[in-house]
Amino acid sequence: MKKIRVKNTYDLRLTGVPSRTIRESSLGKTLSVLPTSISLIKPKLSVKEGASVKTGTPLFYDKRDENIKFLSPGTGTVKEIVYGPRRCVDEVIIELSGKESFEPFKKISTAGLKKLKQEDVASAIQEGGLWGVFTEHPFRSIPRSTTVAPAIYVTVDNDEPFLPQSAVYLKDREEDFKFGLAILEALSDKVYVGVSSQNENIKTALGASVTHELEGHYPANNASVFLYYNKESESENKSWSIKGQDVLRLAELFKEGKYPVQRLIVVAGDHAKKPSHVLAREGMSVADLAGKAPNEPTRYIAGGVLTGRQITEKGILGFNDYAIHLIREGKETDMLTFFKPGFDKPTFGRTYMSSLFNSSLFKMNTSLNGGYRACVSCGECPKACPTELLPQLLMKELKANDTEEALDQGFLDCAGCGLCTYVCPSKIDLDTVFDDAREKLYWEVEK
Amino acid sequence: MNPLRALFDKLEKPFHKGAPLEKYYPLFEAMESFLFSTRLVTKSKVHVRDNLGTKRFMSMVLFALTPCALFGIYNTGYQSHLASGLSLDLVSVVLTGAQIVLPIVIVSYAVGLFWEFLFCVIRGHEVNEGFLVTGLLYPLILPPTIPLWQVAVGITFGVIVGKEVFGGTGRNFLNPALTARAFLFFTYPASISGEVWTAIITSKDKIVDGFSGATALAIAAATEAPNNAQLAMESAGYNLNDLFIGFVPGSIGETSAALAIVGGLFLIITGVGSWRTMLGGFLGAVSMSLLFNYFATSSTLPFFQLDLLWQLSMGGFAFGIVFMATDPVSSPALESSRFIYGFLIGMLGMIIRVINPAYPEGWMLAILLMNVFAPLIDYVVLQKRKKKRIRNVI
Repeated sequence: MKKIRVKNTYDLRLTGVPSRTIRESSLGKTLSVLPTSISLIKPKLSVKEGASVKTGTPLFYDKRDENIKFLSPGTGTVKEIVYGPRRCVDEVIIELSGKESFEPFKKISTAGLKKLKQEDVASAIQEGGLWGVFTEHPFRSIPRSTTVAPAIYVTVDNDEPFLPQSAVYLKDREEDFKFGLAILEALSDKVYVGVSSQNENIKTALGASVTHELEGHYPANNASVFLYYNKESESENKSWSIKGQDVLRLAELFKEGKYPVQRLIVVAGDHAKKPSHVLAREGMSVADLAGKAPNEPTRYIAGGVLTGRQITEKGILGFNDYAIHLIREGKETDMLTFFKPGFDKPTFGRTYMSSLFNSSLFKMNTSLNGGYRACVSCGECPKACPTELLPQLLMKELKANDTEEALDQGFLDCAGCGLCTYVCPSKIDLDTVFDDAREKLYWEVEK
Repeated sequence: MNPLRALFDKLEKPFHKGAPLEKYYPLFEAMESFLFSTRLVTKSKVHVRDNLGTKRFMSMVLFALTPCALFGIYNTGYQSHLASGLSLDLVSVVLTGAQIVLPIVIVSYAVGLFWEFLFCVIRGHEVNEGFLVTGLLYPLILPPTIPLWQVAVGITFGVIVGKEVFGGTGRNFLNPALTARAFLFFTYPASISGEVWTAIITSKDKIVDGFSGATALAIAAATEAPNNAQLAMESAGYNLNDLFIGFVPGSIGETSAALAIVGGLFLIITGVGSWRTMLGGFLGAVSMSLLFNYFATSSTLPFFQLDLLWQLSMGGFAFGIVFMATDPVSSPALESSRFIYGFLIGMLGMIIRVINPAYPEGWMLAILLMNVFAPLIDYVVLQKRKKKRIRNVI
């Protein structure tokens, strides 16, 4: 087992930590699927309003590659298709019928898997609607159905506040996980499995399957970071990655022969009633999963607090979402904060006393904690970049449309972890600049 | 609710969009955000943010500057009383000092903020707190004898040409305080050449015997071979201890190397000032000074022989390296180039101080010159950095 020490990581120490108990959730009357929440695809519908669908019936696919399918997470009829501007498909609403029936897929056993060729395994995954769980770097898009991965990176742990913990989702499912890894090995010659160095239990439970130990706080267990530290040549830049829980879903698809709809998410944040792990299904609404927030301004986030997308209290759990956060919107205004010692103010640097004397957790809120300013080259962001980039320079180059120079400096190594944006005292939305530039580049390359 | 908060909520109305004073919202915002933490919330995918904002960042520099500023007030009064033969008790000295220094500080802030607000209102920007630092740095590097109108003209040039024409704080490539100082230096050399830098508050005939008013640097630079620069300074009443602590005539806030070091330590501990710049500057000055010592003969300038400790204690070296060279905006962006940048400032400043008799002190010009070269240092360091990475391009 190799050890990777990730540089420039940070522990945010936020409150609202989800407990390890697993709560069941009950389905509402409808499920919604959000094609627009999946980035870098061109969704094209394969159902019409009124069509009846089983769990696992294809709802839409990528126009450029019809093998990249997205399946229905429930059984019922397509009640409504909601179009957004320029007729993009915002939402497919499925009215659930009482009894659930599954679209049947081929069951594949461990022995059966060994006889299959790479393309057969790939097409079984594509049929089963799980091709979308793979991420192709550096753009973090869904790989084309015919590409072969130079390497697949599996990240078992999540250190972003907050995502499902491996100790919970992997409990008693080590064998499934190993079967999932066998599926990945059928797809690519190299499969790397990284776990957090703080996670002793999983290391022993998975034994020889684990190839790398990742040391550091957030985002040491991010797949792009893992890839950055492990790659040895340019050819590995286009490696794929997959989350630990999706490995389990792959195994489930092959073993059961039906679309695995269940996933473990966390409902977390100060405004969540009881922050915990929740057994959920794609397309469920926040109301079904998290209940009502207290009577205070609340922000709803699908995903972690550093990379999630903002939703409303009626928001939907998307294809790639593994968390729902309810946190305080803004904060009480405070007088003359910047002249106070600030024992209760979390900070990355050393400008508040909290960096010396406070080891407790800090309350989460969405305050910007400052005004929008021009970059003053303070030098905080390079100290918070796990892939050793210079975010302030990249931001300036990308804003000046000098993409060549940004690429030359390694822009595509950016893991999108959001730490540079978190620490910026000028409150520049570096993440937005980088995401936009990466997406623009992707469409230039891929068309 | 806090009554002050309630008052501000009431006052805000005429500044809202569509209301009559809409244009002057930056003025209101500056006042409000000075008193209260922001009400803005995050918009991007990074939903939580660090508590460090530019206001905190800049106030850290102000904290670090406070000892130098307070000592500057005291020392100005002290030098003045000493030369005038008045009582040296603390209260009267501080009062005199405050009388001389505070008007300079007030003019610097008032005139500078006027320009700052004007540009913000025109551009519709929020007022940038960077000026709070510039507005205090600038008076501290002026001699106490400076006429107030020159203070105003200087800061006007510094803010407009040094900063605002490029788009405001963060987009300037020269240190605005030094730009203002350099403008005065070249425009009104008579007031700022370092000949007499003690504010005399009595009539000329009451000046104590033997007072020349020349700063240590002026004496050292004017010493001719075969005389010894150190002896010349000693006979004019200077000693190493006073130079280090700062009880000597000079620019208002820069005489005390000791307090500049205190401020520097504060900046390093809080992480606001770059320790690489400071260390580089120190090493640069030390090595250049030792080089001069090495090459000193009877035919070179006597300033060559001056002892290292004297070189480091006198003039604006410590203040310049700690507060001027570390300005992040005009420094190189990369931490590793900041060391080279500091080192070159140290060497250049020492060269200008010792070799060029036309300029009494070298740091202002050395720092401004290196400000201009900062992007070049970055460029070179960046090329080296790129080679270390595994390329990832399309």
